[in-house]
Amino acid sequence: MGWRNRHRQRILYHLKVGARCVPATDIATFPVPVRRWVKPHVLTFRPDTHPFSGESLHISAEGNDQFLVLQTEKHLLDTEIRCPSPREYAVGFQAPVVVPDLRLTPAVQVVAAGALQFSPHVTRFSFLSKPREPSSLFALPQSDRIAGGHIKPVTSPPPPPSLKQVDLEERLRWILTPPIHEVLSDPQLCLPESPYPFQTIGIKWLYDRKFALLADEMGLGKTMQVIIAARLLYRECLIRQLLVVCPKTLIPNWKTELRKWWPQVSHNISVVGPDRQWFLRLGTANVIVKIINYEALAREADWLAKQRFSHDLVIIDEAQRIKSPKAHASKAVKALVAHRRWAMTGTPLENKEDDVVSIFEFLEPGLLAYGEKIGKAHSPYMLRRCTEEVIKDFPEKIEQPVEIELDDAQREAYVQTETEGVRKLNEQGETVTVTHVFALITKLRQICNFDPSTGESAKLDVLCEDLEEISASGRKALVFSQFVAEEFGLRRISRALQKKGYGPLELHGKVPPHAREAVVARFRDDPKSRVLLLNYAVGGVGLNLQAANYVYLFDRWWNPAVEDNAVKRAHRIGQKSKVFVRRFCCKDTVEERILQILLKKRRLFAQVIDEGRPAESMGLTEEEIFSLFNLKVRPRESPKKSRPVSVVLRNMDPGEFENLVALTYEKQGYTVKLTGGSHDRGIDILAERSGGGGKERIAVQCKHTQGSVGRPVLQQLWGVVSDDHSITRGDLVTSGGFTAEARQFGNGKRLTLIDFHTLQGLVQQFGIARFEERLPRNTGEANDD
Amino acid sequence: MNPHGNSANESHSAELRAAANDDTDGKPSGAILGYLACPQDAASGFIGALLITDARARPLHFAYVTPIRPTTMQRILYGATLAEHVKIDVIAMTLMQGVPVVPTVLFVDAPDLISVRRVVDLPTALLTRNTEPQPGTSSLSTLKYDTGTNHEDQEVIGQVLAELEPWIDLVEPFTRLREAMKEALKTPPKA
Repeated sequence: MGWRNRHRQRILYHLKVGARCVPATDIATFPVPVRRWVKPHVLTFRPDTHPFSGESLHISAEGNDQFLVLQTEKHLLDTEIRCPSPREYAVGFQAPVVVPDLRLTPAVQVVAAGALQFSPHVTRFSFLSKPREPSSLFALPQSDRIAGGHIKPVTSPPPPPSLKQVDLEERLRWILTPPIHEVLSDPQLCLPESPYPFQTIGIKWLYDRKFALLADEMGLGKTMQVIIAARLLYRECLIRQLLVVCPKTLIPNWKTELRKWWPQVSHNISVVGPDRQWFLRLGTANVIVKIINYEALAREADWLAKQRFSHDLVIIDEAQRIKSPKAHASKAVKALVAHRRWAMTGTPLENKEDDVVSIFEFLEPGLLAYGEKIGKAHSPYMLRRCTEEVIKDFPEKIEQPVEIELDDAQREAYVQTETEGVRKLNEQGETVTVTHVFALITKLRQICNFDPSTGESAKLDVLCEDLEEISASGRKALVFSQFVAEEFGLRRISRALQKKGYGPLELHGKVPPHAREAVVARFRDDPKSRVLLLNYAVGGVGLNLQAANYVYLFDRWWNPAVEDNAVKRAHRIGQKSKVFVRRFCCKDTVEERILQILLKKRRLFAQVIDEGRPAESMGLTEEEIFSLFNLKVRPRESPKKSRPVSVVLRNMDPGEFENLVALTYEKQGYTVKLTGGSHDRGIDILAERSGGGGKERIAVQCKHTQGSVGRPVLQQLWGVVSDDHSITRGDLVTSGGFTAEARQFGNGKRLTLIDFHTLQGLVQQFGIARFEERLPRNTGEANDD
Repeated sequence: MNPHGNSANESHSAELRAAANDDTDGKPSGAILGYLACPQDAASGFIGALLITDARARPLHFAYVTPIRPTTMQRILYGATLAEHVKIDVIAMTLMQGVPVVPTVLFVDAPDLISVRRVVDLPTALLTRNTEPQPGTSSLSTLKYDTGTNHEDQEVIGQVLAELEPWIDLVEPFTRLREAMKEALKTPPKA
């Protein structure tokens, strides 16, 4: 044991036993630690005798710190040390020494206890309170943490979230929150199955967002992800009740999924009854999950528009139901006030980009505008994964287009009907409409299914041949058709299959809703039920039919998204075997021509949704429909009537709207320049004029929308105005309105907000209500006329 | 009016929540877990942090000390006792004083911290992953713990581990703790 330790021990001993004698030696320095048990903290050192040398030790000191250090040089001296005060300790007290004997050099020095004391600085954070509204930090793309609350909308372009953007407490909350997989392994959750990793990410993604569009491909478990995310929010007291809006056919499916993934609320689910207003208004007792179908909600659209009560969370399933902004269901859904709004659909875009815009009008009004390319502004709020990307060993889907030659009788009937139909259409001349063409298409497609006179069907023959093999191998099949009727549709197929002993089951609009769940259960569980016949409208969405390995599209739907949705009833999570998809198409018929359009639409979907690029064309146009029969005539344009400004504005396309806006500036004496295709940072028009106050230069951005323009659009315009000092001000002109947030943002800035009412006033003031005048489009040159 | 806003609904909601809030057989422990780490860095000196979590490993409290850099004199005077003194008597004691919720057990990540037991009255154990299965044992545990000479703590520690290990990764919070400490120390303290 070294001398230092030896002495320290000795000193400790003295102090511990209450001795007041502090020995000093000729050793350079040594500490006198005071342990915690020495109370009170005041120490008194009295003159005593040195325990080793026997010499008298005259040290008197008091201190309230934990250490006192004595230091000598060579000799132990009779030295009296003045008691240092606490303040003197703090500043490093050098003890003055009273020297009784001048022959002896004073050498005892008290080193202030503070010099040896450790004073750690502690910072504390308490997370005992309920979760706060977190910052965008929790939306970090790669993060595996979850946190409740609203993620503030990210303006366009979305800045990457960064740890530096929020304060330390928020960062620590994020870091210290357990990863999502830890949360999901919570014993209380008791999930019946472990979510796939991509589902875990989806749950976290939803949980972190106030508004979100979960657009996973069909069959990837969107309902499950939504239920678990809602359940986690409920556990954290961030929601108390949720409202699910879904198609009527999916209500049983929602109940089943809730029982599976959130069994504790099995008795707290309420499905809308006759008193819908009461149901929607109230946080009803005993209810945690409320489920309402679109149709019931739509009937309350007008009433809802006047109400202001708020829901904690509204989830809309099969959100493509609100793709049309004018539909009652769409208006009703958008009238719902909710703190959190989630939408689910595997097909956010069925026909055109405005489908997505309409869904976002429910989620975050103003984020996207109708008639414009949606770009990537919505990407932080939309999550879409494809099966092949996320499940590597997912059973393969084998597409088998089946080209079918019509039977003789069918061919004869087909040719005759088509020839006659086209002749009649041509005869109608300019009065022909799309409706007339549709009627012919429907007739021809029905003939492709069954010959109306003989009942022959080449498709049915192929189907029966296949079913024989499928049935023999113990497999099951789904058969989809657009038609249900006895003559051309599922009913007729059913009769034929019944005769062959395949025990076909039916699921379509003529099957009562209360009986549908039983049909699905029987198909799943009854080995004798080999075939399920479904129409696209009822059987194409939300059902889990993994018992089938074969999917037949007996006739084709107009929209590939609807077809895909149908296929995904079987090719979804839970499927153990390969799925064979057989799409029937009769050769040299209108079906073949429709197929070409479907392929085109499929490209559109891929561009807009999967790649985020603007689409080159939109949906099925009137021209495409007429082109199916090479009709030589087109309906003439209806004569222009003087219509109210609001109607005219609504029916304009974005280009016409820009022209109109340009005209209003021109009428005010500006020289206008349409930026056209250049889209210079969103600026559509540059308006200039010179006056007494100098040159005025206005950057005009046009938004053709029936909704409200939000702050992000205004921010973008402000970015342009503030960057370019030659621009006097920025004008944002819309055929709709502005959100309060947008108006607030515009305050005090060189920005002018022109909404529908102001625009209407200008249009009427300058007498251009009929809009006959048009400016040249996309010239890129100033119009000096 | 917000239909959820009345007190009757609030109270009902609480009852409902209790009924619906996941009471299962896998009932979680009410244990509160403390995690203490005091890494020593040649450059920054002694640092330390305490994380207190609930039985789901969700954070309840986090505290850290700014780096302690002993002076030359302190190094000389404390000698070999310096590290233990700073870690146990200074950092650990400081962190444990005034915690808003007292942990049921305290886990440490280094052997020299086990002696924190002499200044805190909590069952304390060094908790590490059991990377090498112990020969002759049938334990499926992926963890091992060491209470040092405090054998009386083994029972409580063993109980908590047995109860929670099947459900949560008990070592993982140390990762978060160190990450949080690193993040906190990057930030200059507010004036």
